[in-house]
Amino acid sequence: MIGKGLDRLVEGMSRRIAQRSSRRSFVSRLGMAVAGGVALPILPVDRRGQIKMAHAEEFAKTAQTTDKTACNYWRYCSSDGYLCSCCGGTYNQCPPGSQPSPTSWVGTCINPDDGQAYLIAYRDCCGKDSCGQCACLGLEGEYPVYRSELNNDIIWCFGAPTMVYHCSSAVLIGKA
Amino acid sequence: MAAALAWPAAAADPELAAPVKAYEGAELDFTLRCKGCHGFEGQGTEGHVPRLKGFVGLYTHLPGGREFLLRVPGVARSRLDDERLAAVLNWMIATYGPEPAPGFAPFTPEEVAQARVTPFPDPLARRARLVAELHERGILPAADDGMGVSAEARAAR
Repeated sequence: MIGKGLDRLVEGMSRRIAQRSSRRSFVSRLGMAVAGGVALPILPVDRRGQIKMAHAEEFAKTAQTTDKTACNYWRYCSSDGYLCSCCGGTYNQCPPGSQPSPTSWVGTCINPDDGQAYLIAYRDCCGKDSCGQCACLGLEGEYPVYRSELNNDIIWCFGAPTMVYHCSSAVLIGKA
Repeated sequence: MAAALAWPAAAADPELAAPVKAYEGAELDFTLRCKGCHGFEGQGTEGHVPRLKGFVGLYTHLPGGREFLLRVPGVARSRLDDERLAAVLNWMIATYGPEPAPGFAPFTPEEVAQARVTPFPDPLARRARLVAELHERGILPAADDGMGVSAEARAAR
């Protein structure tokens, strides 16, 4: 069971990386993970929470609330993948022929219109080949792969009929 | 708060036109860090992630259950500090139930700090033993393992 789970995790990571990243960007991120792993323990205070909010605020500065097919739509601050709104679905619904994963990656985005932080569940749509449209790379709240549960490079199709990734939706959960 | 009352976003995002639930405290931490996998209703993900609803409180009825909840990697390795993590555990037990064992004492930041230093390297085996004990004691029906995996499939593993 552990082996199976690990296989699926590695499969998900490999697929995601292969589908979305250049080798150079992977190597760069791996470098960040290694450097971060060494640097974090010697930080005098834990400022990770502050850094996270800073990222959310930074994204909100250039975010907009009308075009759901653009990477800077306010909900996509942590969306890493193809936008379902460009793939025959909507920003919060899977395109026909794909199924929403029962697991999702939850992030916090700020709506620039009201300045309020909202919880967004990034739910991958699975079971159909990669959409390949509107690739976005939101990093808010993301951690390198050594904290796999906090990494959004991984395909979050756990529990879906297949691990084949199609696109990512952004479902509003509530206010933070 | 004043910004939240001004509501211009409603026109741009139809979902914001309706009331949106506000999360805070332990429920916010749990929602942000746990619900993605354990499910927004605590229902779990069949075959992958245990359900919490009507299940997680059962661990408090077993001698090793409290330790399991503290040292299971998802808890022990959480980025939450000890105080917030203890609050999340207590929120989870109170919210998803069932009723904890008589005399159950809430989790404290001090015991969280002590236990999380050594996460279980073998959480699935630990969990399997506890679930078997729940079955043996008649606390949990044999057909239920909290993961939606049948007794036959479990036996075959």
